[in-house]
Amino acid sequence: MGYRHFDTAQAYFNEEAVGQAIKESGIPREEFFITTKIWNSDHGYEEAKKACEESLRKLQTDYIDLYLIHQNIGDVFATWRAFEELYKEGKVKAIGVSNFTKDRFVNLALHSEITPMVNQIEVNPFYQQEGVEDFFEKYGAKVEAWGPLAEGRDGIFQNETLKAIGDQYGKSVAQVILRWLIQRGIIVFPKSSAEGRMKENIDLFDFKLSNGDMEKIKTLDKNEPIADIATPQFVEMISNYRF
Amino acid sequence: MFLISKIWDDKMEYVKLSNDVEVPQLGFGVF
Repeated sequence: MGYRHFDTAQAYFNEEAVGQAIKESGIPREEFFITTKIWNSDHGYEEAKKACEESLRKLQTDYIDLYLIHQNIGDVFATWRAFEELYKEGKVKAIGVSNFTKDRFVNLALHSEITPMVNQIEVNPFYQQEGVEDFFEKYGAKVEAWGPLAEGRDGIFQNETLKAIGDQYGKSVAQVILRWLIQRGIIVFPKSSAEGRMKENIDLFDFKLSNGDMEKIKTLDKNEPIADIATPQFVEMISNYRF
Repeated sequence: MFLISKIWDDKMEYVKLSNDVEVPQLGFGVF
């Protein structure tokens, strides 16, 4: 099908399966781009180094392409020091964060030797975070979008504006959304367990949305996140999550 | 695994990180 870039995490329990699938594919490791993320329970300098070794073992590889701090919870500065060393040692090819609000990202960036190269955050048509890609670009960081299809909420796949845009190109609502993010310079990870949708989601590189289409999509923003990460309730909930 | 084929989509677009590492703009979320 052609996917070579996989977004995994300790907390998703998918590192072993992805590692096995890649091994069985017979395709050289260097043709893949593998991301994984450290969970809150492994924050700390020593803990983070140990967690990286564990992820390498599960992924059956000797390097990770992109290693992210999954949540901004706990002693992320100690973890980041370990990440900087892992990067210098070549065990990880790039390092970044996930679910960092702008202010917390800047805090880490200004007080670290290496600025995070990526921030993986929620971006979708109902929570567009307009201009967020330009904000992080000032720090040399790229945005990755989780939940690009808004997890199917609020009738997104039936949205008339998105359907009408897709009809012009013979593309689905999902393809329009993913293309919109790609044209913003954002890296996307749609997820689906249906083979047809997986095929559809990768078929994005033979059309381009017009500026008018991009403007129309802007009008769909409700500024409503799936996960409001900047609340005490979210911090309490995610801090208590154990696996 | 049917997700991985022998043929890479040569139309894939990439972004370059600050250390020149290239990232395919489309990945698969296995969550």
